[in-house]
Amino acid sequence: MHKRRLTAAVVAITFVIAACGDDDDTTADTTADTTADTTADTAAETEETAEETATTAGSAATDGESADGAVEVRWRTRPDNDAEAAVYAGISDSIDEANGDAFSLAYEPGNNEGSPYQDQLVTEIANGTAPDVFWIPGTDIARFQSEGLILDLAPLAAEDEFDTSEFYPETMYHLTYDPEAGAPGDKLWGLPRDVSTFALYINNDLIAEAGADDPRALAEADEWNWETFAEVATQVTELGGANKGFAMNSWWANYGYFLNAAGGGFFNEDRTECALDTPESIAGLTQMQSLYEGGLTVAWGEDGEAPWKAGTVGMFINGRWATPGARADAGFNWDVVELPTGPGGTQGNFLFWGAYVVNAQTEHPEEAFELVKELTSSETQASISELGANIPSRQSDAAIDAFLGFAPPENNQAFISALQDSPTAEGPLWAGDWPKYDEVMGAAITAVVNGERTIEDFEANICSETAVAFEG
Amino acid sequence: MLDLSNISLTGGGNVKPSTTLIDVTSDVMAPLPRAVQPTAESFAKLARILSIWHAIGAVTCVIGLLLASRGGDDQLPWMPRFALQGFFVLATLANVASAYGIVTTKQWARSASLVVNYLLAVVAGVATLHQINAFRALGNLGDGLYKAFVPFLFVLLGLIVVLVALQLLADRPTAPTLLRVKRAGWIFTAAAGVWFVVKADPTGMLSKLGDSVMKPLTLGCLAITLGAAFACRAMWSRSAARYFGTSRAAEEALSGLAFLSPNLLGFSVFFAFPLLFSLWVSLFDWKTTNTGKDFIGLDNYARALSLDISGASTAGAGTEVLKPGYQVLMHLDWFGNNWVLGARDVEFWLSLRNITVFLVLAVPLSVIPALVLSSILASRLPGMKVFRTIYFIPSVAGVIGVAIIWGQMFDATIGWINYLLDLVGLSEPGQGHGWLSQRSTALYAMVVVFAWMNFGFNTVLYLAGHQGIPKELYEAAEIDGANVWQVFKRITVPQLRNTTFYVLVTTSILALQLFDVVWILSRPEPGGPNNATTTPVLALYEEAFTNNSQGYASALAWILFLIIFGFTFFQFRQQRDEATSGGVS
Repeated sequence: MHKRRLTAAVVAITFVIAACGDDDDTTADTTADTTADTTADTAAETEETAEETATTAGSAATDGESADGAVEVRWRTRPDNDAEAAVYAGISDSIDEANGDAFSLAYEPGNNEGSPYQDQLVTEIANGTAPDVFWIPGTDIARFQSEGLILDLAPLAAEDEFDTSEFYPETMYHLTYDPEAGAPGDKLWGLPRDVSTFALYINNDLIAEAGADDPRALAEADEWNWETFAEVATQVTELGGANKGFAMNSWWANYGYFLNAAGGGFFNEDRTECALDTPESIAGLTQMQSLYEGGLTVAWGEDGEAPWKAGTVGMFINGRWATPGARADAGFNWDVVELPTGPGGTQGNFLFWGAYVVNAQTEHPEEAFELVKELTSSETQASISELGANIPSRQSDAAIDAFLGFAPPENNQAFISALQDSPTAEGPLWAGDWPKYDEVMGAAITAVVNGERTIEDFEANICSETAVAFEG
Repeated sequence: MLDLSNISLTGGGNVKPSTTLIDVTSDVMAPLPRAVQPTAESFAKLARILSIWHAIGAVTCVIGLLLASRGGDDQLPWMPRFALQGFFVLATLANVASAYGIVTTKQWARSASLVVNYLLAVVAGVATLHQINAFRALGNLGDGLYKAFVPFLFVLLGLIVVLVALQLLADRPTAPTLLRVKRAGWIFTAAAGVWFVVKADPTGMLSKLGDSVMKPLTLGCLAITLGAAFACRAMWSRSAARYFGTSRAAEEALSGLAFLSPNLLGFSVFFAFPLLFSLWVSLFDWKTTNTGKDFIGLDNYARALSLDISGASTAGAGTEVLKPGYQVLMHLDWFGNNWVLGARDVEFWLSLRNITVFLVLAVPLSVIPALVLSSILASRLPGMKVFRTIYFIPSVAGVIGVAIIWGQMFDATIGWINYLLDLVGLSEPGQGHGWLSQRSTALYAMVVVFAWMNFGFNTVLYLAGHQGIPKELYEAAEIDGANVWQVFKRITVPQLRNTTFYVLVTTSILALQLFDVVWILSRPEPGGPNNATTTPVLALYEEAFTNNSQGYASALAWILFLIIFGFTFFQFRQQRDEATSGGVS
């Protein structure tokens, strides 16, 4: 018994000392040391850094004070991979260092692309444990605003005389939207972290093997349209075997491209009504359905990225975020090209974006706004752009130059060109419920493409079905 | 009567034999020998202090009740206010009753006081730990150990040396070498301990600990904890039992409750309370983000279960023939008449349809192969132990990992299943079926994954059941010339009836709660394609976290609970009826 007590006592004392031995200050130092190495290329190191920063976040005070009582601001993004998480952690440390004693930062990488980032965030907000500053997709701005979860930063911006004109106007339209006025006004819900557009990731080897024209040359000659696109897709498919001309995933922006490029779209001009039944939208849907019916594509609902990486797909539509994966996994000669122009006269591309917003429950709004400004500065955006996954949200030459210098792909300009071709901004539905609209619309499109529903039935009923998203 | 006069309670020889007898049949405890018995008189003074303690508790609770009920700008929201008011009313009554009972020496007063003080000690203790950041320190434990891991190992090494030396010294207490080893072990442990302290550097947190302990709130919590613990200790004593004339049955009940209390508290706080709270929430239009909590009674349940059927002049009529707020669930063609069946929550009804189909297919697929396989594995053929392990592996593999691997296997373009079908000529390259992307097969693909994951565990359960079948039955069958099928049908299956019942019930519950497999395999459209794989749990998850409707999601959860409960109850009844009608039990 004596020996057992002795052992228990020594182990217990050791554990108590260990538990006391890692207060926030020391953890922050450890994190700073570790994240200083974030430029290292090895996956092991970046993973370690992400884990370290996650640990820091886990032990960060929720009362907004660090161990020494100074103001601590917690912030979170949704990085697409460990490397990106490491870059954000490094940026957090840089800003922290530059701030001196003003306030300290605790960075928390959110879940990866496939995990329910917003679900976790909403739960934390409900429990009062969410970070002071967090990133959300553009489509969620209205939802978070209408529920009073994010702070209006306009008074703080006015006090600072902060200039938002450098950001893409499509994003600022939504970030300054005044729901009561039904138009952009004297509001500021956040600042955009980055933007992206769609491009076609092309397998040059496969297209050359099929003897098809090079899509980049066609785009250069201004002949890259639905007709030439279908020709290339057909020729690649005719190679036989598992080869397909085209692939895309089945979430909203993918079929949205066809609707936009045909001159239609999801909503009317002021996004207050459904426009899925307009002749232009129906023309876009018909074009898309014909590609599937013709067997030129990977089956609807199947992941398009994996077969493209496996080298069996000629063209794959995706955003800039797919570039790091393509660099890592594509074992063939690849590049990107603009989306083919549709009958509407434009690419019909989307401008994807997300924004840093401030938690309405934060105890430190001034410090949080300072952090948002720092996170969206040209310097910060340039360093993130070097990773290749993001296009800067500021229309600054320096940031865009940093982005264009990242290769492969050689034709980075395809993403920038899309920005200049009147893209439709990924936007919240201020007059309704976007998740509900997306749910009803997605199910209906799936039914059409899978042949379970006729286009005529879709045209006749879709807007009455989606009306549920505008109720209440 | 049991004579204890010759029984030593301490194991030593110092206790004088007593002639005291204990009547085990008596309800009231007989007195202990006077030499070891604290007097009832001495406890009387303590009882007065305890009654004052409870009186102070009652007054404090009344003050708390008044504070919780205060109006004005800092008035609490109604929900926590109501909860706090209820808590303080109960606590006041319990303290008043305890104080009164102690003063008037009521038998129940001891139990009441023990329960009140025990709960108070737990609550105040947790509050004290919270005040000194103990829970946060617990979170730092891993990091602290990581920082000082090498010295930690050396501390453990030194300790092992000391323990081994002590063990050997028990036999040879004066062996000089062992004494030297023990001393060296202590020195080594101490040196490693110093290194550990330097490396872990607890000064920051210890300083904070000192600061937080000295706060009035922390000291208050600590004082209440110690006071309540002391009151518990005093009330637990034999003198208290004697003072209040506690019966043996009551004493045993209290002891039983004391042993049960950690589990009971955990169950109450982390299971029973959330369960009942969700029932409460289901009666409200309760937003996840606390932006609204309007009482709506049973409207959430009505919304989930409402159906409307209307005649239509043409086939394929839409929502226009249904009541406002209803969506088309299905079109029916009865005797040449067109009908439209609508629901307020179409997705939930579709999820019920899906889970019914899933249940009907997945449970037999998880159970029947397990039964057959277990019969083969129960044989004494060589290599069976290896196969038992192999079949059990899917049960211990992570669901997410398993689902991701199956997702890759089902991939229409680069998946193994279509590739194998290509090889045997059942499919053409590039024309592979979209197992997960087509409505016609998506749910069945989920069935396969579920069955694959569960039949291994069920096999192990059946193997355990096989151990209980008397070998004589098989020997008799062999003598009678029964073939393998007859043995299986007439002996194995009936003898495993209880195991089959358990396997059926647990597998059915698992199937009805299907979520994770669908969540992974149907991405990026959870429940897709086109709601073909939506399940009730998925539907309630989306309501709670995507649509922000915690109240409605809770109602769905309770409807699902009732379905599972009803289904299980039905299975129990079936089992009982079979047993009573002469089946093997």
